[in-house]
Amino acid sequence: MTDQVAVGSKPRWQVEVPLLAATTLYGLVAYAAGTLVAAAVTVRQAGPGFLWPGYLLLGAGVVVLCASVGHLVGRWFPSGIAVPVIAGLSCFVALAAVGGPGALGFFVLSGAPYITVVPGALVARLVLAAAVAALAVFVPRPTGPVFRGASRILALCSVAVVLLAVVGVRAAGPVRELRAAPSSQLCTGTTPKICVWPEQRKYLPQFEAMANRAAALPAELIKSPASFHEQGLRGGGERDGDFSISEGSMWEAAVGIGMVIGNASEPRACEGANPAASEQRFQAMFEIDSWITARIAGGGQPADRHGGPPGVDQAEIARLVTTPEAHQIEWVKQRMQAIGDIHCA
Amino acid sequence: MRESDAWRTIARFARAHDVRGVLVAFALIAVCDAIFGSTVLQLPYTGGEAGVPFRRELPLAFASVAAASLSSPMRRFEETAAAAFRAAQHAWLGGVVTSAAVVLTVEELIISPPATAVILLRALLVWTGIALLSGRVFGWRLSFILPMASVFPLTYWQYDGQGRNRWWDWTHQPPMSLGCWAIAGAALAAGSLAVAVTPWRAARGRAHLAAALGRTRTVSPR
Amino acid sequence: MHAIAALSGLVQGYGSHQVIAGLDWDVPIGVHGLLGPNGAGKTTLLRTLATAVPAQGGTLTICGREVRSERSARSARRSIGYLPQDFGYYPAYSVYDFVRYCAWLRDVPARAAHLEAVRSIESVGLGDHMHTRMKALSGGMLRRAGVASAIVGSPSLLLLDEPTVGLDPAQRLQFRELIRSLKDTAVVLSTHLVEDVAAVCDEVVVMRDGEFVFRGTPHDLAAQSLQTQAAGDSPLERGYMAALGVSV
Repeated sequence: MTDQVAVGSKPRWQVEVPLLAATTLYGLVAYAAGTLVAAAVTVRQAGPGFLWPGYLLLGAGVVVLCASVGHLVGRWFPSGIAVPVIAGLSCFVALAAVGGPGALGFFVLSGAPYITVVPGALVARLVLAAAVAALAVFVPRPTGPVFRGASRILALCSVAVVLLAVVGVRAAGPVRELRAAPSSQLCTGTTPKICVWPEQRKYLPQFEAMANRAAALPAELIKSPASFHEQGLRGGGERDGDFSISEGSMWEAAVGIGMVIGNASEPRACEGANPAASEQRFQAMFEIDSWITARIAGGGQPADRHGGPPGVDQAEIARLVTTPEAHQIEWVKQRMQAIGDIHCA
Repeated sequence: MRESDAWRTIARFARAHDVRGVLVAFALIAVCDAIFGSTVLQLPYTGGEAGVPFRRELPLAFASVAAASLSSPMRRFEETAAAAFRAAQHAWLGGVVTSAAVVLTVEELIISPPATAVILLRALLVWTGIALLSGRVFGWRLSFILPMASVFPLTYWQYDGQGRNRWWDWTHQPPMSLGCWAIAGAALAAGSLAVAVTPWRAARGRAHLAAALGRTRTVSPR
Repeated sequence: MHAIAALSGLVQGYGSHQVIAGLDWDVPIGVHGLLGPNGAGKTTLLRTLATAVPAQGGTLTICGREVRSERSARSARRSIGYLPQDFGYYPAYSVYDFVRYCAWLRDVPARAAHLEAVRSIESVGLGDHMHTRMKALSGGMLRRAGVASAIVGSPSLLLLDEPTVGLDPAQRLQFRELIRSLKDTAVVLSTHLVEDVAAVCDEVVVMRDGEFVFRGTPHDLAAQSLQTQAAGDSPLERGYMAALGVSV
């Protein structure tokens, strides 16, 4: 099409617009396909509210932004081989280096339920994407014919708009903010009760089972709080003692809940008189926490999860929770005793 | 062929295969490696952010460029080329991949431990094979599609339950990992096959397949 | 007469879509015009003759050797000059570089390639543009550069797909002169322009839906018009329309 475009009677930018639109459409179609697949596999269990338009719009803005950068690079450096590399690397480096939530905030998937997109900041980023798109179609090639008249004004305006949009993005502040706590919480009908964000309703049956297992812990040793809350549910962002559901993992939630129960149940211990005493105390606490976690999770650490408290053999804990209750109580008592017996500083 | 003629022929081939773009791309990737290679880039992740060492992914760009250099605006003529072109095409591909390997290795030996250089060289071989396969399937200009797709498992599923890199994670497994070298060998074999496949060979393959499946259709390439 | 190219029971298509069904054709030395409406299968036939794609069935013989593998195709291509309908080019090549590259693609011996390239370029009237970049050529000049790339090395079989598109009347006359001057060559000329066929072809083949619906001399084709009331402004056009079965 190069020749036809070169000899066309339309202003060059009118030819560039549909070309960029076509490229962008490819990206948006792929993005929409991924979104639809995610929606299709989630909607049955998740219910309303699971899909957040703010993040989707932010993602669409990134598609437009990167397609525009590629278009601009392609016009300035017409090499079919170098252009994808230049455009791809520059977008990758730029987004990865300054696209995080702490900087320009172009990341799309990093939204916990207690965080929401700020409309004003989102609009500022979409304006930036549109401005870069305008830059890509209006600015002439360095070696091409110089734009004149209205085209020249549009080119200059697009440069100015990009600069203003960058300033606007900085001025608009972070794209994410803490979400207001819901007026009514979604909780299990159990004792203890476990409360989650409305978007997490599909996990309620699993949390009910978890709460029942928490209630079944030996009462003479374990004191469970009356309620547990997902992070952010009580307002004010992250709180110590509230759990999170990372990538849908009930194990991560059980770890959070287990630590709260452990803190409430373990004897208050003084600082160890020496490092060995402190290590002994922490080892016992970690083991009890891991045991509680495995009990309320209904089994040991799943294979797709890794990490955990240092020095704790998770496989051993997994075996422990299958042993008779009396044996487990004895095991816990030993560790409670060890915490109480340390030499204080 | 006189020596100057030979060089001019090579130059014509190189220009038709965008040698300028290849050189610019290699230079850019090398600069990115030097400046950002050590940076652990934070990428979006459902649980927050995941760190991806930039250097580990750069061989992908080298490999994609090398495979993309098989594209040519003269392809309508090249598809009916005689024997010399195919030999030159193979030599060109070998030369471009070797150049990428030399640039990558030398740069990594300067700024990284030798083990990292070996790992990245192995990654270059793996991605070269995948890029050639991608180029054959989607067209040489789109050689980056399958390599890019391979980044997803490498950055999201690379750990096993114990937090160790899986045996197939060719960007992290140590230099002597036999599994990863096997992947490199398999990828290169697949890539070589992808380059060797022509419409005639594909037709012959289909004919053999049809014969093996007991179909009676007669086809010309025998 | 000895056939430079021969097709026997040629079947060709794309996937399950059959474009050509069972063609037999001997192409001896001389100029053979290939006429037919869009979609008749002319380009597919030329690509098959050029060995760009293997036939789905039947046999193809070039210069007495059956082409049935990649190896034999590569060998045959040394004898084939092919100008595709829509050919790409590296825009920064000079006309000379373009033709030399095409000569190299066909394994034209290096010691002869320079003179062959110069001769080809001059024969299409681009001698003064030998070092002009391809991107600076007009449409007609580009087409002539393409013809030069096809005839370089004096191939035995010359396949030209719409070679006169974009040429002005004087250039078309020059092109016809060039085609007439090619000795010991079997030329297959795919075109929509019946005047070109009348002027240079020894044989005319009319294709429709992947089949030959007429084979004969231009005179025979013109004579077809006498039998029916076909549309057209010249006897050959009317003959062509009659061969296609299109009447007024």
